[in-house]
Amino acid sequence: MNCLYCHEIIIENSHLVNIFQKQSLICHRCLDEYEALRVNEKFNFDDMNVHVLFNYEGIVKRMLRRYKFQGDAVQSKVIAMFIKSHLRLYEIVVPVPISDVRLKERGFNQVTKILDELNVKYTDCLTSSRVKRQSEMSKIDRENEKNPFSLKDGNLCLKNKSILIVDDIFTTGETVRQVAEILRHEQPKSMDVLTFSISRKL
Amino acid sequence: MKFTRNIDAKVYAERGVVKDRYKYKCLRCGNYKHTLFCTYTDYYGEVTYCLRCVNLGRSDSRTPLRVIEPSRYRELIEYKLSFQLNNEQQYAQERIVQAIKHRHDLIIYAVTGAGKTEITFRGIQFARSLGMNVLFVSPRVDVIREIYLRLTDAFKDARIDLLYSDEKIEADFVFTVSTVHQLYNFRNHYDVIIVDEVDAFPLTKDQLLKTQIDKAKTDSGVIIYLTATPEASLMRKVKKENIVSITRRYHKEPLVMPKVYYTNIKKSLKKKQLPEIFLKRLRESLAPRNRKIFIFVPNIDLLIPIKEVLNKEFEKVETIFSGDPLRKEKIDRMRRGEIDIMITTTILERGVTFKRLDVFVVHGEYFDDTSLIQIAGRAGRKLEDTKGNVYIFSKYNTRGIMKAREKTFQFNRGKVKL
Repeated sequence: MNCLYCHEIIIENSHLVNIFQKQSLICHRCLDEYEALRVNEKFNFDDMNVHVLFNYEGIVKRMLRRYKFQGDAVQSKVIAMFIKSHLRLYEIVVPVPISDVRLKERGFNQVTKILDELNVKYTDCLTSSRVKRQSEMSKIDRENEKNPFSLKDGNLCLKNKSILIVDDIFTTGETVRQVAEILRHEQPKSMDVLTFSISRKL
Repeated sequence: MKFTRNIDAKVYAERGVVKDRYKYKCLRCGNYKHTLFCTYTDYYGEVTYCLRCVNLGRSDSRTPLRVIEPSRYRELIEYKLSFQLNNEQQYAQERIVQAIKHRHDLIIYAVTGAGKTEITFRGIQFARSLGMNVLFVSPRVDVIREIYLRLTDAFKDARIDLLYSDEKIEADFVFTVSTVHQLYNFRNHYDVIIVDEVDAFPLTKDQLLKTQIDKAKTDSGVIIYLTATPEASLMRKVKKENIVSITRRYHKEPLVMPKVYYTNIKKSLKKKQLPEIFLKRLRESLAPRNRKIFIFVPNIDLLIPIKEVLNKEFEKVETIFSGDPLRKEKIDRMRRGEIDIMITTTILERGVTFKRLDVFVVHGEYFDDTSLIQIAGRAGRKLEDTKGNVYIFSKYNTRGIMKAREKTFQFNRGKVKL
């Protein structure tokens, strides 16, 4: 098996104990680089608990760029591996949506692809009319943007449910704030956020 | 869908990834390893892409492969050298021009510190005057930027491209400096390819990378190999008369002959000590000789144990290895004199030039002759300091050590066995 990041061969010792365990997706060197960026933070934002796993730097930053901008779709497996344990205890999982333009460009929604790897049931109930790429928007652009999200039609039944909003990168938090604003209309019991990485600079 | 590089380019394959019966093949980088492909389904359907070269823009089963259409024009580019070439260098320089003229490959078998880069300038100028596209390629990322700076400094009027992972300066792709990986996007493009350190990592290990160079070359193109330690397989590829040796460093002084001491350093480290002969030589090098020191170890695991023992007696000791995130900073600090002793893996065996350097090798029995020659080549490189000391500490004698000393002897007497 090859490391899904650096593509080196992963040498594993086979014992009777781990013979039924799943294969490693990344080698120990790359894993070390990830661990060096691990944050496992929880902070309050806009009245929600935001759970963050990694700093958006180094290998995390490079991997996410390869995933989203160079089309290295297999990285969804690696991200899924890291967030797996954080998804329990919520009734509704809402991925941050991407616009039609972005979907046609990338071919996939980077967040739902990760959730698909875990066979997690999610509610893709939002659409986005955002045209500019988030990565191209400055802090001021982001603050001034009109809320591009809206609920899709249909019976949603988010009322009185615990919701987890999932995204890949948290920078100013504007995206998550806008998503939460829309979802609050449905009167959920609670709303939390799970974001894979946090960017300390814009 | 736009994941491949957007260059105005001609299509040379309908798809990047093809399936031959049950096997996938990437037509761009040549990958055929099943585990390095990923298949998934998205908005447009099922697609398979190549993991191996994804960093350079994705090659997949539904996107055509494009290459840059080569520009061709003659150009008279002047260059200046900051020093005079010695006899051997001038001869090699002339041979390069002849090789380009008569279209055959050439190996410049030159010692470490021979000034290999500068001897190619006349050939580059000649090639450009005929409208040939020139590529200077090295497998080593550390070195590529330095080479670019030296070339732009010498050829002040020429527009030179620079392509490597951290930086891309794009001109016309008629005179380019790049790492091997960047060549995935070129086919039949360069008429003269100068390969620096063809025996360095990762070119040695990776068969597919070697073919990238051939693919980037035009059918009638030539390759000029520059190396101090050519592999036997390379020597066989080129006719004997087309192997030109340079046995003296540019400053004309002989190579430093390594001295060998037999001792078991790992055994001493177990007791948190180092052999007395090792420490004695270290002390002599630091004061009164006032040298900087490289200590080469065969394995990352030895870096910290040795540092801990040295820290008891010496200051300004540092370690470095390929995965070290502070690599660049540490080298800069050493240049500024903030580090006296650098304990390193083979990452520093090539490319770096330091004044007043003495070199220590720990457990020399683990190194092959190529590594030892390159390591020993770190000492005595500068005109102001042509004599360094190279000490190899080994448990026992090996062919690698013997061959390294033998080759050094041959170079110093002026005649190498080919």
